[in-house]
Amino acid sequence: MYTGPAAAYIGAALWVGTWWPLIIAPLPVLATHRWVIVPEEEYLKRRFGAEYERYQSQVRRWL
Amino acid sequence: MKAAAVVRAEVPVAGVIPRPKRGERARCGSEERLIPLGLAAAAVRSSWGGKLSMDTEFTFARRRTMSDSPEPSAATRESGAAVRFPAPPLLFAAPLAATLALHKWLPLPLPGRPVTRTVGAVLTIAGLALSGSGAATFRRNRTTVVPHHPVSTLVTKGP
Repeated sequence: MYTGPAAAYIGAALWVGTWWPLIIAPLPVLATHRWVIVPEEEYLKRRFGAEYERYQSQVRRWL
Repeated sequence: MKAAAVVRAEVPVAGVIPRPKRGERARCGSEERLIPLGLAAAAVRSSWGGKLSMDTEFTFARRRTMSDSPEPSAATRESGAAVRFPAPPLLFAAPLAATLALHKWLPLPLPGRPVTRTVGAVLTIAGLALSGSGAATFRRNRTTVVPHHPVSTLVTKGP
C-alpha cells in the first residue's frame, strides 16, 4: 500500500526536475515505516495471528 | 471454588450439543476448554462463533482447532492499528509539497532533462495507479484502508 505513494513521490521529483524531494526521501519512508507500517503489522498479528504471520513470512514489505 | 464446565468440541465443529448444566461436563470430540459455568455460553459463542439459542443449546457455526491462534480480544477486533495519521499518504504528500515550494525559492535542478521528466511522469502515474488499485482491492474485500479503523479481512492478493 505504501510502495505506490513512495514511487509517486520519487516520480514527482523527477517530473518537476528537482533534487530537494530526493535529498529528503529517506524521511517520509522512515516515518511511514516507523509510524504506520510497524503499528499496522503489530495490529494485524494480534488480529489474525498465525494467518498473518504466515503471509508476512512469504511477502516482502515494500517490493 | 467456582463451578466450571469442560466443553469439548469435535474438530471440525458442527451441529448442536446440549448446554452443560451447572457442575456437568459437556464433551463433543477432541477440543477441551475449561470455562466457568456462568460464562460458558458467552465463551463458546466467542470462541467458536456459534449462536446460543433460547432452548439452551449451542449451535456451532465454524471450525476451530487447538492449533489455531488465540481468538483476538474484543478490543483488537473493534479498534484498528495504533496509527495516529488519518491519511498516511500525507507522509509523502506533505514533504513533497514543501520541497517543491523550496525548489521555487532555492532551485536545485536535476540534470538529464527531458529523460527525467518522462521517467518521472511514468513513475508518478504508476505509483498513483498502484495505490488506487490497492485501495480498490481492499474495497472489493469489504475492509478498510484507514489504518486506525478495525480490519475485517486479511487481504493477501492484490496488485
